[in-house]
Amino acid sequence: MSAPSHPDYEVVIGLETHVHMKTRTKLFCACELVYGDEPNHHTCPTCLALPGALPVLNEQAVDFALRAALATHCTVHPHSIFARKNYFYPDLPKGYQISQFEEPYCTGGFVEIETEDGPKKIRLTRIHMEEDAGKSVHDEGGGGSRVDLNRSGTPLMEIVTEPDLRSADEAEAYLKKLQSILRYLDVSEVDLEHGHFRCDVNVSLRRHGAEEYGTRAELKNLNSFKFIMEAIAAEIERQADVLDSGGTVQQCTLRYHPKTRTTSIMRRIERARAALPELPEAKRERFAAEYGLGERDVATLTAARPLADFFEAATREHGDGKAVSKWLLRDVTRVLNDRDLEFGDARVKFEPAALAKLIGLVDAGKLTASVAGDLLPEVVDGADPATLMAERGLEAVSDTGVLEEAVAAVLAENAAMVERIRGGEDKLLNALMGQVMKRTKGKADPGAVREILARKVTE
Amino acid sequence: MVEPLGTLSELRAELDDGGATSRGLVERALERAGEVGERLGVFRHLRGEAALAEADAADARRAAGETRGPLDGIPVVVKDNFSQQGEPTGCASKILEGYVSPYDAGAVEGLGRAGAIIVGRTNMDEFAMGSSNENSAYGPVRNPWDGERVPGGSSGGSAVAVAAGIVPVAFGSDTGGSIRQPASHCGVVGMKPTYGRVSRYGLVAFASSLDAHSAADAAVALAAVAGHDPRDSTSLPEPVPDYAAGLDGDVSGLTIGLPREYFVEEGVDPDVLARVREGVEVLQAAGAKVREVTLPHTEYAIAAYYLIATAEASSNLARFDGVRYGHRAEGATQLRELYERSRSEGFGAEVKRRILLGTYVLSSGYYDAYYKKALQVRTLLRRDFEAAFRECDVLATPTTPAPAFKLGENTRDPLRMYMADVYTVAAPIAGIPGISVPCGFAHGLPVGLQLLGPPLGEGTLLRAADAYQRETQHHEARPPEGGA
Repeated sequence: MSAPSHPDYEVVIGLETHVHMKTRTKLFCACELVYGDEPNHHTCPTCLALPGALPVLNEQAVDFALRAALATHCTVHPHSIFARKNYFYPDLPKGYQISQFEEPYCTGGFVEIETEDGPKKIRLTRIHMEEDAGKSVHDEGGGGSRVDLNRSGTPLMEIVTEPDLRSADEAEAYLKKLQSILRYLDVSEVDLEHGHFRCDVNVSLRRHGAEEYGTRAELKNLNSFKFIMEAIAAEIERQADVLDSGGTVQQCTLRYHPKTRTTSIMRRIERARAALPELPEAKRERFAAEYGLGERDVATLTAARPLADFFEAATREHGDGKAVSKWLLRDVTRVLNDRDLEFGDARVKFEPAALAKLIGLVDAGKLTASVAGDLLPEVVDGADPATLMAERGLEAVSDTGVLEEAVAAVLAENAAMVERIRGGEDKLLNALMGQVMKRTKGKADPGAVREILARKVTE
Repeated sequence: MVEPLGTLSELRAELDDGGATSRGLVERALERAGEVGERLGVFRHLRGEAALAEADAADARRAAGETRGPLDGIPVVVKDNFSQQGEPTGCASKILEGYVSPYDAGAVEGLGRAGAIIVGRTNMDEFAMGSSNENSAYGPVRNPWDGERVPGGSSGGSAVAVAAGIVPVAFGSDTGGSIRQPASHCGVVGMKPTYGRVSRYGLVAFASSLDAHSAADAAVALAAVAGHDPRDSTSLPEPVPDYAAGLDGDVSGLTIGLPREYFVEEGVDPDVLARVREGVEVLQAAGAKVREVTLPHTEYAIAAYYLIATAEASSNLARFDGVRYGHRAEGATQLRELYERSRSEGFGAEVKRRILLGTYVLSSGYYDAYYKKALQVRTLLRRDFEAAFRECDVLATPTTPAPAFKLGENTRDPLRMYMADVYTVAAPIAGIPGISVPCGFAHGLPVGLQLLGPPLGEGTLLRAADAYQRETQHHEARPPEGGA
């Protein structure tokens, strides 16, 4: 057993390597691949993304990619798909990169490396083909930015490993082995300094013996062996410090600073990640798990963000997601539909707190559900439920003295019916309930009325 | 005013017997384009001197006995989404203002080889997005049969150029019905070939198509642009048959399928349906067999089409960013501002609507529910057609549910506008060829009979359409005063 690369933690590393293929021409057009010529010299309608231009796949690039797949024991798929990765950037002329996503041309091989313990197979998840972007050149002197598209459309192989590497040394051994294989195959110059070979490194730590992987951080765009090794070492140290002090590693993207030999989070990416709204699918899953709601209700609640946000805010106030959901999807929706409005419309003045309050009054037995339903249109318009209740004297009557009196009066008026109930016609109890509610103008707490009625009838 | 130009066969005969020169034809076409074309909003650009110089070269070839074929020296037009070297290629969009293409589309090269003279570039719905030609950034095209009505879209300018006698043959594109629907509304033949039969290289759309007065003329025009183009990976390698030679007027062995779902009375003008039924009876009387078939997934075609088309549009139009060519907003200091303002200023309302719909459809979490599902529907529609074509050789349907509607009638209701494509969207989704042939009039406006064929069934379609035109005179009707 070789010495662990960290005394307390096992280091887990996975690598994504981008390799420029040394084809004669670009991946989707006949422009020659030449480095160092004057900007935009090697361009055509296709790699400039002029209107109407189409890509045609480079046969030599496919041959080179196949060689790499076979030499690394990958399974080559007779059917694979090129997909578009859409994003806007000036050096990406089409507004999308042509890459392989769901169905790469090969998967599942390995590269064997030598370790102190003997040979070790580093599994490959996949290799896929994609095109490189152009280059943006920013003039620090304020002369604006310029774009050189000579590199636009250069064929790349992205070679992705499983998280099988356990130290910076193993990572180096893997990269050197890969470099040697690709040189043997004569498919790439594999020259790191010239950007033919770029590496993204995923690093995570876990306690020795742990089953679960730790949270990983990604180190982007490393272009020399030296930097790769240093960056891994620095990142191991950073994560170990975080874990030692009882913290947790956040998933993030990092940049390596060779001068200080430290890594730092790429703020821009992290800001974007933090600002990313929760997407509908994630929201659906979370709503189901967090609030215990049924599939249909979750689907309706998450269909649009304003409704979902309202639901969450109201639930925070009230506490019971199921109750809030019931009121929102049934009563509130009906009120809004009647007025041809929906959440998100500026005309809707309804505050989540008001709904929470209204439901709270029902929960506390102060309002009956039916009176609360009657008040809802005004509450939706911005009225405060408690104020409405007080102003109009709508508070539910749960004072047993008042209720007993009302029940006694109703029973006296319906002696015949009471006899029939005593004879077993339980259903008639509901009719008496209705009469009590009428007498109390709907304000009686139905639970209490039922209890008193049931008791008095059998007395 | 200059007389309308005749059909391709008529002009060919005039050239061959010395009654006309190519220069003379091109001059007449240009003059008529300046008069009738101007009034109907047909053109985005006329080539003038360049076209006349090419006409002189064609005349010289003919004098030397080196005529290249039936299109040599004939004036034609292309839609504003065909790239042509040295010419503005604008797709009737502000965002391509000032863009001049440095290269020729595959179809334009084909026309050049055949000696056809492109005299101008026709108006269209911006980026071919529309069914009425009201979405051009440069104003609508008008229907020559009634100037208050739309010509259909998106290739409205091309259909009108033929209907109004400006040129005998026009080229356009058809992704959802963009050639067949305007051809139907304008009383001309509109042919959409099999996906991959004509090169898409240099075309800012998915499928190149054409208009003519007759199926016989369409056969000649199609042969000029069809064929394999290695620059278009979906281009088909099969050799191009001699379509014109196959027009023998014989439909005795032909079985015509009438898809039950296309003859539902609801939502279709009864007069249109009557004209189409009469058209089928003509072919039946000429010896064709007729049977009912079914295309069970037809009701999903529009939804699938607009999901796929908008998704692809949102991605395809990403390249129009104001960075390399076309419209760029002035004074933007930040990258994002440059994108937002250039695109906001450059794209019209319908294009923006489709970019938004398409981006939504492709966004994370919705991709499977919308785009992927639409692709699955496409597979089902393809199977429907495969099954139908085991029982018949061609399908006959109306081209449109109603004759041309009034300008402005549907512009406030995009869904109703999309429904105008109900009979034409399935063919491009399934990748099969189709042709619309004039079959009479409803309420004084032209009606089209649509024939659909199996992949690479252009020959059969043209033969059936030609046989129909031998029996009828509908294609000889011309708009009042030739479109004046």
